[in-house]
Amino acid sequence: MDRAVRRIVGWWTTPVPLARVAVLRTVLYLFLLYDIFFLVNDVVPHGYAPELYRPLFIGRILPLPTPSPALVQTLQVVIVVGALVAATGRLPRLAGWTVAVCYLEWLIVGMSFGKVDHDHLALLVALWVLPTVGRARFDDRTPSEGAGWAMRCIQIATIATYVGSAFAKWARNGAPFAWANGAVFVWAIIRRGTDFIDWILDYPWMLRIAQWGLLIGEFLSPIVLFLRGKALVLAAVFFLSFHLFTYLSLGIHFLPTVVCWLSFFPVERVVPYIRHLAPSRHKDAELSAAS
Amino acid sequence: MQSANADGTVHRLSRRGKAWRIGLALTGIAALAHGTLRDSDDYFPFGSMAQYASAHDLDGEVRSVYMLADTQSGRSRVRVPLNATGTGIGRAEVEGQLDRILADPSLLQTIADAYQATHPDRDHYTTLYLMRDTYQLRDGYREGEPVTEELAAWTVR
Repeated sequence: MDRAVRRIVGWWTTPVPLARVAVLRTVLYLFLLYDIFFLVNDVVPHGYAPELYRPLFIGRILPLPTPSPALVQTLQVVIVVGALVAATGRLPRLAGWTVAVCYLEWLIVGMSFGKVDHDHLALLVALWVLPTVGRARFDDRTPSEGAGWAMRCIQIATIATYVGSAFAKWARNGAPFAWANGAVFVWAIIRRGTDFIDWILDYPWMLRIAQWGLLIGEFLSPIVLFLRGKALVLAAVFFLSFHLFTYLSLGIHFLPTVVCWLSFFPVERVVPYIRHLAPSRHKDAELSAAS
Repeated sequence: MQSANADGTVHRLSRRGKAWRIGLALTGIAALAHGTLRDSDDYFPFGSMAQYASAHDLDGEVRSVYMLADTQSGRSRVRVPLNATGTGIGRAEVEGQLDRILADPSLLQTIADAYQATHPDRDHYTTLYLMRDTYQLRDGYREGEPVTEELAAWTVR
């Protein structure tokens, strides 16, 4: 391997503590329950409208079943049971991959009715890479290259959501910054603006400035992969504020992407605090992590 | 941010372990780049991040589709909840399939059926109206009141 390849491989597999994987698993698998009941919650009703099913590319090349009430309810049960098991750290591969497969199909049913959301990339990648790490205990600070690879993939998928949407705007409108001079925010606010933001329609130039700010931020987002410390925190604050703002203005939250920002931070440090707060559960947690 | 543990051990990956992991990740990135360059979200989960990617003309029109309905209890032209907890079919999904629905308004029957199946206790629809409001923009400012059109109507069976 020459030096450049060696450096890239080294960066991609920078060891991180296994406990980080354990904590992220708990958070993401529990978040998944919230997601299927409150965010991508049109899947069960889609089972009742099969005539409007328009399979995506993946559904046309793979023999995926046409949505039906039985299919979507089975998926729901398997995801709930699998995610609850995986959230405890038990059966990380079996439960993890079962959830990954079923949740992918869940999203395919959700997105095959005429609209595709793009806020689930990082969460979906997380569900597919986390099982590869295998057993990871909450109190195991041993650095692992396999865990490092998984974290890096989640980080890259999170950032790909932003930089990908900048390139999508470029591809769609023919020039890198053509999008920023249009009326897309006006369009969005007229269609679904909340009382929080409706007033701004009288000042469309402010929206054009915001469009420039967002697009530049999206193009620069890959830098975040190489930031540390305060700079990383500031970058996270920038993007998370954007999500908060679009939520208040348009009701669009991107929570599945937001939760994956945790992969940038040493979340394993919360373990001692949580054990301190709930000392009576200390033994249970150790037991479940060790079993 | 790396915290080495007491005895200094690190779980390493084998050369092969690294090779397939990075190969897989690069394949995923390539798939995503493909979906983006093709400007299509049909390639989900490797589709283009196309939400809100279209620039809208500062002097163009803003269109918004919605549905109204007459109900069994005699209420007329109430708003149909085009969302996950209402009909289960979202407004953007109706807009995404608008050509198909206009060519075959009987697809609206599916929406009424799904609503009835998922909310058997609610006031059901007897007629559905597919509506569209169009706002005119001038240099990014809204101009005048929206024009409202009825695109299709369907008597629920």
